[in-house]
Amino acid sequence: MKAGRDGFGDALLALGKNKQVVALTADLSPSVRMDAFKKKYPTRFFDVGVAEQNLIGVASGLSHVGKIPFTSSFGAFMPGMCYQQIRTTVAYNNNNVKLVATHCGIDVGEDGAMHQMLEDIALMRVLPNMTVVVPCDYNQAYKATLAMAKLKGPCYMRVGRSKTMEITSKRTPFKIGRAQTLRKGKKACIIASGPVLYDALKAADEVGNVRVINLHTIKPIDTRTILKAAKECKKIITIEDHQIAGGMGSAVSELVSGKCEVVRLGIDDEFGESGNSQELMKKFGLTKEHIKKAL
Amino acid sequence: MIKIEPSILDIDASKLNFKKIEKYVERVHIDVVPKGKYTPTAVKRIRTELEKDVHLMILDVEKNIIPYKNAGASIINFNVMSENVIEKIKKIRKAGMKVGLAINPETHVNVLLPFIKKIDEVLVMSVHPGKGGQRFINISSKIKKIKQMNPDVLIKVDGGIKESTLRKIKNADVAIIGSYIFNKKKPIEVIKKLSLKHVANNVRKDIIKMINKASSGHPGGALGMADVFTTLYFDELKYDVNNVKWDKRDYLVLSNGHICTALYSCLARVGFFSRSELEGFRKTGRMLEGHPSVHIPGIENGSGPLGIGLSQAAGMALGSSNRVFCVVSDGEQDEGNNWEAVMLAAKYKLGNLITIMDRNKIQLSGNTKEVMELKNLKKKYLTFGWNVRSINGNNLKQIKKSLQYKGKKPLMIIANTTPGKGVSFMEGKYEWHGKAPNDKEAMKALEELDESR
Repeated sequence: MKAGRDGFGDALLALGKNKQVVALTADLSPSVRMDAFKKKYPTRFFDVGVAEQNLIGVASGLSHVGKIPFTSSFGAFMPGMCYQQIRTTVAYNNNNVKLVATHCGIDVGEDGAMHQMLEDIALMRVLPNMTVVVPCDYNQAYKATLAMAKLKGPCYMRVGRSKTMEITSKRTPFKIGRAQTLRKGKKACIIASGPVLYDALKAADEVGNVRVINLHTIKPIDTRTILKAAKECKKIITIEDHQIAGGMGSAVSELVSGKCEVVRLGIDDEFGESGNSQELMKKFGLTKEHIKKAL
Repeated sequence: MIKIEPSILDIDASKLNFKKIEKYVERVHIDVVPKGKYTPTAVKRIRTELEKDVHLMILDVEKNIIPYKNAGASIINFNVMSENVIEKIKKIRKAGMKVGLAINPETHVNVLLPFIKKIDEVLVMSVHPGKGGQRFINISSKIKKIKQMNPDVLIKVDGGIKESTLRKIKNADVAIIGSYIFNKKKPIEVIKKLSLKHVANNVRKDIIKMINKASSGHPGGALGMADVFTTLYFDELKYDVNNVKWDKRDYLVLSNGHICTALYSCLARVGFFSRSELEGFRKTGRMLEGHPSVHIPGIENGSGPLGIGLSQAAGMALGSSNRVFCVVSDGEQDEGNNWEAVMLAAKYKLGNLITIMDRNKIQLSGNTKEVMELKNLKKKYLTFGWNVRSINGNNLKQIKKSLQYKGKKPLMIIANTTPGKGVSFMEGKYEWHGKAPNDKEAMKALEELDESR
């Protein structure tokens, strides 16, 4: 088991060969897995201290003069502390800044509610020009990081804190914007984003004839794959470690809009709390049992 | 404020870059002497947007009126001591041009009396006409007398004028200068230095017109910073209007984006885009938005929400060895983001980051002292590890001097300005931070600015 943020950190190190790639953080280098990049490319690593608004502005400035900045902090702080800066300097200016938020979701665990960012997908997907990616495991986070570097324009990727189950392999293809159908079926369809995909697959296998889609890209959303599922399956269940209002589930509902029943699983309009990550998942309804119940 | 009119008497006009001269002045003076080079054909060959102010120092004025009209002349001047002055005035008017009467140093001003209400301009010679490079004869007492005869007539002085003699003729409207400009290695630099105040005044007029036409906008800070922007765009920044993204350019980041009218005016006047865009300010479907956006040529960053610009400028200075100039306001020192950038700039020793603060002591809802007192800004910036210079932000020479910098620390230039500078009823008043002048107010403002020219 490896963590999504490790996938990011390892990929960032690999990207370091490109002299235009720079890395920035706000006093969180070890936690966001930038230490290896920092050690190998010290002149291309910048720490702004505990100052997330500045973090975004500086990254924008760097992108303006031709660099490819990867900017990382915890979701609660980025976009949490610096939404206006992202909106104005990154999205509105259409700057080539890559934002990677770690520690998103209930998955954060013991640090508690204030650190469990549950609203970031909603915030980021409504920004014009923004690409939003939610990889499901280490391998996918690695590939997504490489893909973001190739893409021109603002990108946002969210990962959690814990080590999670390996769902995809090194050979599984990955393309931004192209959802992956991992199980076929017509009884129902589960759409999952992030490591909760693991439980979605478990639930589908236990029930049978249930389609499972890995919706790793919230924006631009894979309209074709989702509408196909809405047409061919009797109902859709979405699941994400995020508020059910405004996140991936809402994006799917907007798209499907009446064509088929959508049940959104996630955090139901409340804040999180301190506790063991796995136990919190159970408490807040993000396990295969909850999915099976919804099926 | 006296306007400069370059005179091309002794030089080869084909070697001049008129496009550059057009940035600073509106008229060019052409002396026509017997057997001289400026025949109507030669004058026609001069392709420029500058108004051609032609002085016919030849015997046959009447025969030459139409030929010079066809050559593009806007104004014809001839000597008041000629014969048939009234006839000549009529003919010039009939041809659709303005009339100027020239008066030699030894001629008494009263000679103008019979004609003073019939003409547009008086050309006061301060040397004996015909040859360049003569010494200035002090005719300043004539200027006052002519103004008394007719306050509406434009008074221009020609002959031996240098920068130091401009003081002596400060009540005249136009100074015609030839050898002082063209005997130098870089004549356009001389024109620029002499005209910068006038350019800044034009920028102020643009600001009033733009905001009045849009019925919204922020005049206070823009008027206060007109001198800084004029100096930056006309006298300091390195850029290429034909290659806007030139990778060796100086970057200019405007953080307090609401004063963008000052920036837009300068960008238009140096050629980033057409001046015709200015009247479309804030209009639906037009290029110049209420706050800067990156699709406008010459704009490096979108701005509006305060406190963000310095971060971006610091990022640019961090990733590039080019100079990065950042304009911030004193009001936005309230934003924490600003100080985060201040700390970072010191940490990474951004000596190529030069920041100019519009220290006008006002913000939207009141004076900065009442809303959020800033106390000793110089001390604050010094303690944060910057170099600091404090200047009069409405003095062109001080602005230019302060921008000359080479250091290991980032530089903060605290530019003490008067908000609303140039318009008496706006000066120093926070109420004009974001209020648009109505038509009556705009007219009054433009009158004041025209008078100071």
